[in-house]
Amino acid sequence: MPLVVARASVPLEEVDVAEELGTADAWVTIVWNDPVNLMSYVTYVFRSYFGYPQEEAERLMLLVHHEGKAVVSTGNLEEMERDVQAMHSYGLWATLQRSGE
Amino acid sequence: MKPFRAREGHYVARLDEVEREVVAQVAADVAELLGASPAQLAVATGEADDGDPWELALDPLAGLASPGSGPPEPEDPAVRRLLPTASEDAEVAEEFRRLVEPDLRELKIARLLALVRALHRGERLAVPVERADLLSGALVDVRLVLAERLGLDTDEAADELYRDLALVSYDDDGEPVVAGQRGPAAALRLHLGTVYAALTWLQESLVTAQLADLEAPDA
Repeated sequence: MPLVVARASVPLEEVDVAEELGTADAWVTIVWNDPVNLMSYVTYVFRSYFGYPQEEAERLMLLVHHEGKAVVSTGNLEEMERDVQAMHSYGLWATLQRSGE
Repeated sequence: MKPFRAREGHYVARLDEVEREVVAQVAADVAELLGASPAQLAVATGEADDGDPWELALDPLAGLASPGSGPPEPEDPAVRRLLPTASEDAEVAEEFRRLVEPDLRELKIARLLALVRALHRGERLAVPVERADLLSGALVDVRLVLAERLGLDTDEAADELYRDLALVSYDDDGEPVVAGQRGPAAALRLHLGTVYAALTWLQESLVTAQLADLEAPDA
């Protein structure tokens, strides 16, 4: 019931955005492993930039470390450009690509 | 060199005069690699002022994308690592270089020069807690360039550097012997490797303090 109420109160333009959700998460940001960045630093970046809790930040950091890369965020093209820019500013090696590629 | 500790809203480390000179030189070199102008470099190494060096004066116009195509991928692999290709999709990568790279480049230069200025203040290297990401980012960029020059492209290569540094000896002429090698290349590896190891240690202390503050921001 609360869901219905919430939906009814969403302004029209936001409904349009919601309808496009199918394409909104079409992009991902990937962080790649490198031998320079400290595990503690990568964890710090994931916590402070993305706001991930310690456990999730550490899980992603270990994924990068052991698997060579990890998807750290998903969203539309502009959002992923912003995240990659942030990762590059922190000195992490990151790329964006279409989800599922 | 003393590690970073939280002190009254700042993170503070201590470096002696030789350490400050060496770190300032390599930070200025990296800023120059990224395209810092001689005027910018002169200001950073000139007379110290009273302002907070970490209060960056970024030019709002510098980040404006130039019309047409973006800048090409940097030729120097170290610069390419600081400003990596953002996507395998050539169109996306090109747009990123055009729209985002100028801002990134300016930020990286500005915080490297802030580090140079901060080092010229004296033995106390301090950064306000809320601006500490500028310092850690500058330290990472310097370490990334040193790592590229040292050929540290794998975890094993990094381990090997630390092993070499631990086993350095000196011949009868006082020349260093690094991994059985002597001469200019060995001396350079020792120098760059020592700076890399020191900055790594310094960075670890900074991020440890930053993580502790994420746990208890009011402490």
